[in-house]
Formats: sequence, C-alpha cells, structure tokens
Amino acid sequence: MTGLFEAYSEIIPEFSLFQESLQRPIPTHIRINCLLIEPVSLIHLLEEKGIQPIQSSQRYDNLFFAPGLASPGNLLEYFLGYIHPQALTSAIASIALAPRENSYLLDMCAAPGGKSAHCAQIMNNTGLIVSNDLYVNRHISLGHTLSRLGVMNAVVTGYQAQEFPLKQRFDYVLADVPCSCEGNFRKTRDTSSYRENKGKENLPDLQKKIILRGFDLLQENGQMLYATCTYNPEENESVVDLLLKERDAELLPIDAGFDFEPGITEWKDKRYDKRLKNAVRFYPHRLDSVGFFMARIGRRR
Amino acid sequence: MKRSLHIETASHLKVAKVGLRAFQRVGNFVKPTTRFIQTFGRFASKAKLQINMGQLQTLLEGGEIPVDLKLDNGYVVLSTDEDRVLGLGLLINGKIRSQLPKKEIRSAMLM
Repeated sequence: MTGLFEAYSEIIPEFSLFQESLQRPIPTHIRINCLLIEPVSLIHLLEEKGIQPIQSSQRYDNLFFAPGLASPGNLLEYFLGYIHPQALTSAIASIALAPRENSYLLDMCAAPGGKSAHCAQIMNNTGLIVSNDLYVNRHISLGHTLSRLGVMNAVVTGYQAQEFPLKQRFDYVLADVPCSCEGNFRKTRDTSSYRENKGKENLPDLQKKIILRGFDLLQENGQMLYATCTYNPEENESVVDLLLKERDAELLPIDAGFDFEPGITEWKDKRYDKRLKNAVRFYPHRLDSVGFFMARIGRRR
Repeated sequence: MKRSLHIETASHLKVAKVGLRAFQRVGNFVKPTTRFIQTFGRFASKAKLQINMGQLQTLLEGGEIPVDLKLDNGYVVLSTDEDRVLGLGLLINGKIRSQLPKKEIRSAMLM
C-alpha cells in the first residue's frame, strides 16, 4: 500500500480506503451551464453522441459525472458554452456560498474562472461579480471561461488578494486560496509522485492574510466561503481558527447534500476552535472527486 | 450590468475586463464577437442560416458554402440543425465563409 499522506492517518477516517482511492483517476465531471442551455436539452445532445452522463446528486440537475468522456473540451457543446468540465467538489464551493440574485460578490483568486462562472449562473447573471486574480497571464483563461459561458455580470481585476482595496464591502466573498493541492493528487501511474513538503512552508501565512482581508471586505451579514483543495490542517482549520480568534466571525453550517467529514478541532499538539466542526472536509473515498476543505463564514452585525 | 446598483461602488477598481465583449474592430469594420452572437444570436430575425455538420466541416476546413439567401453581403448568424447558435459567417456574393474562431472550434468537435 502506498505511504501517501501518512501524516493524516489520524484525521482521515477509513484511511486505507482513502489511500486506495488515490490509485483511481479523478472521474470526469461536468457542470451544465444553465445560462445558455436547459439541462434536459444538453443531456439529450450528449446521449445522441453516445455519452451517458450520471447525475451527481438528485438535488442538482446540472451536475453530472461523464464516464468514458476523456476530453470534454473536445465537444462542440464545450465550444458553445453549454458545459464546463469542473470537479464536483469545485462546483460544491459555489453551491455552498449560494449567492443571491443582484448581490455583490468578490472572487479573490478567480482564475481559471469556473467558480466565478458558476456563481454567475446561480445569480442568474444579475448583480456584480469581481473576478480577481493577481497574475495577468491567468486573466486570459479567466476571461475566456467567463466569455465562453456567457457571463455578463463580471469584471476582472488584478489585485493581490491579501491587499484587495478596502473601499467597498461585498455581500459575498469567495476565497478559494492558493494551496498545496494535495486533494488533486491521484497515484494513477507508477511514476506519479507527490512531495508532501514541497513549497508548503509559506502557504499558511499567505492564506491567513487572504482570509483576514476577505472577511474585512464583507458587509454586515455578508458571507465568505474559504476553500482549499488540500487535506493539510495547517492550510485549513489553522487558517480559519486564526480568523475566529482575530475577528467577530461565525462559522455557518454547509449543507450541500454530499458526503463529508466535519472539520477537525485537534491536530498534533494544536487545539482549534470547537466551531470548526461546522467546516467540511471532502475525501475521495467518500465522494469520488478532488479532496476539498470548505468553511462558510458569516460576518455579524 | 449597467443597471446594477453595485457599479458605482466598484467604479474605482482598476479593471482588466468588463462583462461580455459585444463587438471588436476589424480594420474599418465593427464585428460582433462569437460569444456575443452565441448568447444573443437567437434573437436575430433575419440574416441567419442553419447549417448541417457537413457544411460546418467545410467551413472549418476553410471552404465556402453556396447559399441562396436574399440578403446583402455581410454577416450571417450560423446555427446548427438543432438551432444552436455557433457564431458568424460572412456572406459574399452568394457564398458563406467562416468567421468562427479557428483556435476554439476544431474538426474533432464534429464527431
């Protein structure tokens, strides 16, 4: 058995099943873009091509696994903006935030734009989304995704997330922060390898700056979703714990209708705020997708 | 988006891109963008043409398709048999040429 992520054997339930799940590829998952097509019509088009999509959850008629579909980007429906290849857990982030129509939303680290576009769909192309990403070269993929998916309520900015101007306040903030991306790793080839300590050292500091700035950008009663695709508590619970210590924040429950584990309150010699049980952890042996962490944060009056 | 209450609040932000680009200048002409046409082309009441996959293949290979449309030369909204709007073609003297973005639509997509 692989020795991957052994450091987390104490916090990940059914750890051997978790490790086994890392040997399977991440399944192709698509989100139907309801801004441009009805799910029923799209499914009909795919079935005509011999693709048999499987609905990810009865609760959502626009999220589908697409077994056997290796390259969704090669479909005409992709060019037409009807589908967006997106991991199920990535799609859950926008669902968990659930921005209402006509609201004002900031996506702090938006490229390549899948979550911004999903939020635009949930908001029915109303209100205003600020899709921010520091790197100008990533604006190309971001702008392309938003255009292809028919998003009309977004502007693209290029600020450092942790220094985003404080002159305005948002109804919603999505902080899908840079992380070590452990949740993306699957050992599908003998040559697949993951250096668990490579480049992680500076991430928690950056993530803490971003979560504090994101919270400070919220209106009263505003909501933020903090998300990473990693299992590392130093990048997850530890970051949210700092926010709970330094700001008058509350952790709101997440009910997206998928299997998850609650956030942890202990890690090695550290103790975290008990409210972190309201955060959620998605593991690939429970939900066959990218491993994810999410915390829905509310700003009190 | 112009009518959004939040535009004024956001007006001081330095933005790189706003909304969905509708037109671009090509030489002395103004051309609607493919994405704009894909979103709003279904509202076109004239200058539109349904094409089959064979005709689309011809366009993607750089060819022309002869048509009998009672229209002046200019842009035509192209859609599939199922009325899915693809983008624009250019009608010149009874023949349609592709204005679809070559980098984004490939023959492989027609399988």
